[in-house]
Amino acid sequence: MRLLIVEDDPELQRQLSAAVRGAGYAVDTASDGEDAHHIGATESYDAVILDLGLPRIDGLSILERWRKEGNTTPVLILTARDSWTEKVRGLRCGADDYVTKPFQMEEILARIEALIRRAKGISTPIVTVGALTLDTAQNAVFRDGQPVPMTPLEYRLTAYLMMRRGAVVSKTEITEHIYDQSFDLDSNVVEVLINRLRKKLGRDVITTRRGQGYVLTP
Amino acid sequence: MNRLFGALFPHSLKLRLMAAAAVWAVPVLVLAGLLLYWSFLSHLERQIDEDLEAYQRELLAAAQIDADGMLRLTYTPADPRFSRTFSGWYWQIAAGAEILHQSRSAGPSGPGSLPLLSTTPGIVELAGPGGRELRILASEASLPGGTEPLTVLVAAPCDEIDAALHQFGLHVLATFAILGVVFLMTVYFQVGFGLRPLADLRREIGAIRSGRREHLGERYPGEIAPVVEEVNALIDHNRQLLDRARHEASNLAHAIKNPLSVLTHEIAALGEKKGAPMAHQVQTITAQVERILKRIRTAGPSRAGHARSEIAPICHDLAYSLGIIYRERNLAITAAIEPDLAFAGDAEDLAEMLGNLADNACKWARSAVTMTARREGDVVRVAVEDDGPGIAAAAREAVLGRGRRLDERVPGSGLGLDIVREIVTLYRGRLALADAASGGLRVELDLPAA
Repeated sequence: MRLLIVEDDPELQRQLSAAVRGAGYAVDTASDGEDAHHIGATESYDAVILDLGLPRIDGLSILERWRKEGNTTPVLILTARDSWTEKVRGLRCGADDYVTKPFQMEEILARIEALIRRAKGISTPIVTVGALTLDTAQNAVFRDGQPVPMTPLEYRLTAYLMMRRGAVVSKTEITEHIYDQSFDLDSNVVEVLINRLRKKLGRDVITTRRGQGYVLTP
Repeated sequence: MNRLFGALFPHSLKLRLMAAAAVWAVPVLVLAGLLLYWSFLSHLERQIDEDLEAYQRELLAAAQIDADGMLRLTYTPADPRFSRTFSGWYWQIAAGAEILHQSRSAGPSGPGSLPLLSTTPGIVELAGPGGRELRILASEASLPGGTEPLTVLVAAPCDEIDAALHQFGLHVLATFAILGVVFLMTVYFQVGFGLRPLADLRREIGAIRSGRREHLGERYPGEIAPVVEEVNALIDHNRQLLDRARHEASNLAHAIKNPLSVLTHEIAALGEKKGAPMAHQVQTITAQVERILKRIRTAGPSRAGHARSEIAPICHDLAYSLGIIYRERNLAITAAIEPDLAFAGDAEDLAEMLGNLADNACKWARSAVTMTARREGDVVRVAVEDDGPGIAAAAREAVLGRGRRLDERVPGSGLGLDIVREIVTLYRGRLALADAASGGLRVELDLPAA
C-alpha cells in the first residue's frame, strides 16, 4: 500500500512518514500545494493524508481539482481547522475522512487502514482467501491460523494482492502501490519478491499470467 | 421651541411636524375668522345705519308745514315693518317732547303712547318698548315755514343685526373648521410623503435585522444619504471584523496546533511512564487553545449583524458529514427539518452548535441519530436525539456544568457541550436535556427564529 502525505510542517511530516512507514506503507511526501496536486495526479496512491493550510495552493482546492479530474483516491484531511463549517466544506469537497490536529497517531493509522479497505470493497479488517488470513488492523498475515513472518515490503505486496484477490495485477500496478517514488522501476525486483512470497504462502497461491501479471486465488 | 417639541413628541417626527403646522395654522385661522366676523358686524351696522338715514331723508322729504303752521306728511315710508305694532322698526317726528307723527308700529300717538325714544342726536343704542334693544338715529331739522326745530327719529331693532351676525358667525366657524381639518389632513399626507424615505429606511433596516437584506439601498435623498452610507459602512466593518477574527483564529490554530501535534507524538514515543505528566500538560494547553479559538470564531448576535441562517441545509450538511466521519459505525443519521426555518444569527455559529450536538449524539448512539427542528412562536426548537444509553435526569445538570465530562472514555464530550452552551447563551437561547423516545438522550436547543 502506498500513501501520499501532504504536510507543510517538516517536523510533523517526518513524524507522520515514520509512523505510516512503520505500519507497513510505502510513503511519498509533498510540502506545498502545487507539488501535492501534481504528484497526486500523476502517481497512483491507495490513500492521501492532506493538510489544508498549504503554501501556494490550498488543500481544499487540490482536493477539488483531483475530484474534478476523476481521481477517486481516498483522502483523509488532517488539519488545524476544527470548526464544523470547515469540516462540512472539506467533506463536501470529496474528502473521505476528517481529523483535526492535534491528533493521536494510532487514530490516523486506524482511519487510513479503514479508508483503504473500504476503497477496495472490503468491509471488515479481516480478509480471508483460502488458507490465508490478512488482519489489516494488526498488519499481519496468517497461514492456517499461524502468523507468517514478513518484511514490510512482503506484507505490502501480500496485503495488496489479497485485497485485489481474483483480479489480475500487473507488475506496474504492483510497483506503483508498494514502492515509493524513490524506487527505480525494475521489474526483476517484483519477480524476486513474488518468489519469496510463494515460498512463505504456498506455491499455488499466486499464479503468473504471462504478459499480464499475477493473480492471487484460493 | 425645538426643546419643547422634543419633550412633547420624542417618538414621532410626523407628530412633531404636524404640531409645528398646527401651532401657526390654528391661530391664523382663528384670527382670520374673528376679523371676518368683525368686519361683517360693522358691515351690518353700516347697512342698518344707511337704511335709517334713508328713511329719515324720506320722512324729511314728506314733511311739509301747512298754511296754518301744522306739520303734515304727504306720504309715509311704505316699508310694512313700520306698520306692524312693536315690530322694532319705528319712526317718530317730534317738536320738543311732543310727538307730532309716528309710525303705526309705535301705536297711536296721544297720551299714554310710546314716548320719544331718544333725544340724543346721532346714532345710539337704547332699550325700547318691551326692553328690546334698538338702534336709533335722531336728528334735529328745521322745515321752511316752521317755528321750532323738529326731531326726526328712525329706529331699527338690534336683534335683527344680532341674528344675522349669529348666522354668519356659525357659517364662518363651520367654514374655518372644515378648512382647518382639510389643512391638517393635507399636512399629514404631505409629511407622510416627505418622510417616506425614512419609512423606507425603517423597512430596510427591518429586512437587515431579519437577515433578508445585507445592505441599505442606494436611492436615498441627500439629507439622509450620509446616515445610510454610514450604516452600510458599519455593517461592512462588522462583517470584516468577524472575517478577520476568523482568519486570524485560523492562522493561530495552524501555528499552534502543528507544534502541539509534534509534541504529542514525541511525548507518546517516550512511553507511558515518562510521558504521562507531559501528555497531560499538552492536553491542558490544547483544550485551552481550542476553547479560546472557538470563542474568537464565535460571531454572537452583535457581530452576526442580524443574519439569517437556514436550518435545513446546515442539518443536511452535518448529517452527510457525520455519515462519512462515522461510516464504520453504520449509523442512520437523519434530519427532518420544516422548510423555510431560519435562525436569526450567524451560520457558522449555528453549524458549531448543531455540529457538536450531533457529533456527541453519534459518539453515543447505537444505531440512529435524528435531527428535528420546528418553529414555536419566536423560537426555533432544534432537537438532536440518539438511541444510546441516555443520561439519568439527576446527572444532567452536571453534564451541562462547565467543562465537566460525565464519562472520560468518549473524548470531547465536555468541550463540545461547553461551547454549545456558550453560543446559546450569547443568543439568549436555551439548552435542555431530555429523554428521547428510544431511551437515548434528547438535546433541545431553543434559538431566536428569523
